[in-house]
Amino acid sequence: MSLTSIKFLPVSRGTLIRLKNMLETIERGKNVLEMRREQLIKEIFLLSSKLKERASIEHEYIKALERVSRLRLLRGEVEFESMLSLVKPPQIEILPTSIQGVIVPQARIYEEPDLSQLYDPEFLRVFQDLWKITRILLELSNIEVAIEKLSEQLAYINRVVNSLDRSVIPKYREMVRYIEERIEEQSMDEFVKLKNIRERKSI
Amino acid sequence: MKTYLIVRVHGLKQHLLKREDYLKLVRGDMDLDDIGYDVSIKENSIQEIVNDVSNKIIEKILFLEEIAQEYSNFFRAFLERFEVENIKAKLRYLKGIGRPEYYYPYHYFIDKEKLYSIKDREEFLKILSTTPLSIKEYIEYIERKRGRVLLTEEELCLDIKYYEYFAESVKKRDKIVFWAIQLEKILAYTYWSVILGKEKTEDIFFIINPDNCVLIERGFIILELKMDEFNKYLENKDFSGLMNLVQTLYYRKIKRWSFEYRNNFYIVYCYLLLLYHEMKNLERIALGRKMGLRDEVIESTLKYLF
Repeated sequence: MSLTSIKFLPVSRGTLIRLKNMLETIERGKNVLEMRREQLIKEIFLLSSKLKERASIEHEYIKALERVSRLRLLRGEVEFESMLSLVKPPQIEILPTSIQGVIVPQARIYEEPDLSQLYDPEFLRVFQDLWKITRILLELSNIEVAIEKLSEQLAYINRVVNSLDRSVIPKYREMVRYIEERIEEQSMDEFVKLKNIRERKSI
Repeated sequence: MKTYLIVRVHGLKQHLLKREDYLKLVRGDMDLDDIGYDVSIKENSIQEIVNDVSNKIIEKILFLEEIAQEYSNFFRAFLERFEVENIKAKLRYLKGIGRPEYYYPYHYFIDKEKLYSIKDREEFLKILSTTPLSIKEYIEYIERKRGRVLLTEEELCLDIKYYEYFAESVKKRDKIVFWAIQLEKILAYTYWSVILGKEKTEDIFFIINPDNCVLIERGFIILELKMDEFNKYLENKDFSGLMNLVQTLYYRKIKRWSFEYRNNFYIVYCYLLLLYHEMKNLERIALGRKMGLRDEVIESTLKYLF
């Protein structure tokens, strides 16, 4: 039942009961949504606390990249490119995962990079370091995506709760009050009518 | 012609880039097209830059070859280090996951198209066996002995074979350059001792040339490097320390010789080394600037021979 259509409902006890039931359901729904909102906020805060290390991890990542770049410069493009061909890159897949009932795309390492063919200790060390920090960064990006998706859901719930709180519930309450008043008036009317009829009969 | 060559080289040395020029290039105050190259760091790709810079050094060496035809083998052998790097890269590509291949623009024994078209290691080794850099027999020997050959062992064979070929080109003409090449060989010996272990490295060195036993020992004496000290670094696994030590001693020695033998053919060898280092430095600067690295990082990778 849309909000505009309730204006055209017939004024009756049946309508009143139906409207009261609907209002109760809406209020219960709002409570549930508020509880869910709290849960999401709690989850977002929990995930956000893990992002505190982001600055230091990014710093480490930049340092690892710089070490790779430095090696690239020292060894030259021909050697670097051919050495890279000995590295089997990691396989990463994106899986939809449910966090607090929200579908969040998460990157999962399907296959680690194969560095077994690399024999040069310097290449091996810088690539191992880079992969180690990339793994951590990948986990961090998963958390970031999760926070983003949970925040989107939170914003949606907020919109719904606000609209229920400020628009739907007051309108239903108003309507219930209106119908109650009308029914009261009608019953008063009927009472007066009956009283008049009784008085006429007694005369 | 030898005297003319030496005089010419002294003149050409003046045109080599100086430390200030490198710094200007690093900072971006100067570009490659300002110093006679056909490319610009800003506008050209890194491969175009490497190709142009390598081509220029190849042209300069070929020009020297024209001046002194009697040293043609020596100049060609020096240039072969580009081809050796290409061959090593090819061996890695054949073993690797099939990335786009990229080489230096110097193809003397193996044609460029042929190098790109080879898809099989056996075929490649067969083609290589028709050149002075043939490693097929040693690989077969190692295979018979150990049951399998590692890529590292193939590359080591190639390195040793190259130094044999290079040293042979000058052995009868100039003893100082011959010994300078032996010292260069010790750099390779150190690198491979780190990678493969001393025993395996020595084994392959002696298989390819039994004289290497004496030559390396003598090279250590010239470098004033004690074998015990060398072994200690290896035992402690201080690989970068060892490489630094040997490189420092090597550069010190060739620098000292460049003063002692300034009017000898040795100065030509020095000039070639300087040219090679200049090329590598320009490649580093171009790469560093293309990757947007900090000036200090690029500067730290530059090597100044003298």
